[in-house]
Amino acid sequence: MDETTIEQLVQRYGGTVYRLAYAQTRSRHDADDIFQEVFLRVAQHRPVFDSDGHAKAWLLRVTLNCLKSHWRAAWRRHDVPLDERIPFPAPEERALDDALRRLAPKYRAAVHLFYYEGYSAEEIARMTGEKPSTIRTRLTRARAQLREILKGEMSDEL
Amino acid sequence: MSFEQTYRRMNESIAPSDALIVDTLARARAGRRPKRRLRRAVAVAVAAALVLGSTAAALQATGRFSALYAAVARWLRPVGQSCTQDGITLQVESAYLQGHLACIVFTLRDTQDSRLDAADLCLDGIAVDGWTMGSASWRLLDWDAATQTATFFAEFDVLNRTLDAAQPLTFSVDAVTPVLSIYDGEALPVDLSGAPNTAAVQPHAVDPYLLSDGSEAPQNYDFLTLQTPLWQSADGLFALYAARPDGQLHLQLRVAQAAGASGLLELVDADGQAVPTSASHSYTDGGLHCREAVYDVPADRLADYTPVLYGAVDGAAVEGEWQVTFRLEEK
Repeated sequence: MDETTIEQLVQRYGGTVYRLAYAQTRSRHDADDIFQEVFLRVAQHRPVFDSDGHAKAWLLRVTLNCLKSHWRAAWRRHDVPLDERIPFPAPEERALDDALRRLAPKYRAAVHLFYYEGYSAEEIARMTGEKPSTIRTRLTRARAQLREILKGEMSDEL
Repeated sequence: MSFEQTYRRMNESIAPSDALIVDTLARARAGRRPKRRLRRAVAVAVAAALVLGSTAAALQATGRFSALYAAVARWLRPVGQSCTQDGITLQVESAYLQGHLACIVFTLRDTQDSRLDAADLCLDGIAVDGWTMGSASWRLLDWDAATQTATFFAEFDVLNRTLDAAQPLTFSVDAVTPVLSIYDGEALPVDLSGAPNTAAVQPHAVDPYLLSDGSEAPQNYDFLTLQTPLWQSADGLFALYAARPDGQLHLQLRVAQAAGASGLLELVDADGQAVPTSASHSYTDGGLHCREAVYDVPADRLADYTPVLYGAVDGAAVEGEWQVTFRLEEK
């Protein structure tokens, strides 16, 4: 893959990759690391994509793999300092950010891919290499935990 | 406000910074490794070493290395195995292996010359035994000019096998490249208000490229052919040209790629915020890489904008193919 193609991918999917990385790590610095790791892997492996959907799914899968490696490092399991957070302006966004931090990382990724990227449980399962039932269970548990944490904060049922 | 609406809204504001994008593309172009922050515990230990005014290599020699690395002592175990090729000795000082993770502190010492004496050092072919999938990152911790010794910290995430601390492990580095100079976001001392309104152009073939509105750029582009640079690096390997031929600011960076130089330009406003390009094109010809970016900025405020350079100049690589096999001892 040449320089131009990487620039195209960064332009089209840089935000997608970064948002998923932040969704799981809740840390700007760690999201920076993941973002760079993903696109340098693209530069190294030079994949050929047959469609935009293929490219996006491939990049999300690589991001999930990088996130897996990321969470294996023991020192990352410590709490994230406040200065690595993105300062959300609205109270309900800050409340939701706090609630998401209390979810297990694997739940955060499922929530992000389902609610933000709009993938189905079956599509997320293909991306993560897990069973659709596992993803549905994670979404159910994540909703239950968020509902408990956010009592009275959100107007709808999760 | 519903959960889904709130979640979507808060994510809309999350995006990689322009500096991160520029740095990532520069590393992709140069085939360099990811820039990684030192993990907190290691960073604390290194900071302690620097405060005490001692180098990591010297501390190792005096036996104080482990004490200063107390924060990571439970991970790192002493090794002390080495290999010499082409007058450069690679020594694995200490290591930690657990599951899919390997951390290695190692030194490179030039026993014959001063080939490692540079602004930074770039390693190629850094690997642990059996590593074919996963990721690796490394960081130069220290440079000791007296002994011509560089100390590094490397981290591997191995995806396709589980590492066994009881089994021998081979750590290898294929080559080391001295980085002679670095421009890590250097603001260039130029006044853009002097950019001429006319400039000769010459067409060059460019690869298909996305414009900011999503459409593809033409196959050919008329690049500025200005003769007098607005700024030039002391070694002459980087040159900046500027003009406003169509009312927009065109900034052109010419980089002597054949001489080991690589770099990217960013334009920042008075608040230090990166200005988005309305288009950018590049071509490479005869070892010269030329990139021209177009910015829609007001003519009467050009003096408020500053070009910022991210770049590096690599020296001659030393290809040693160093390889050390070691086994961690029980603590």
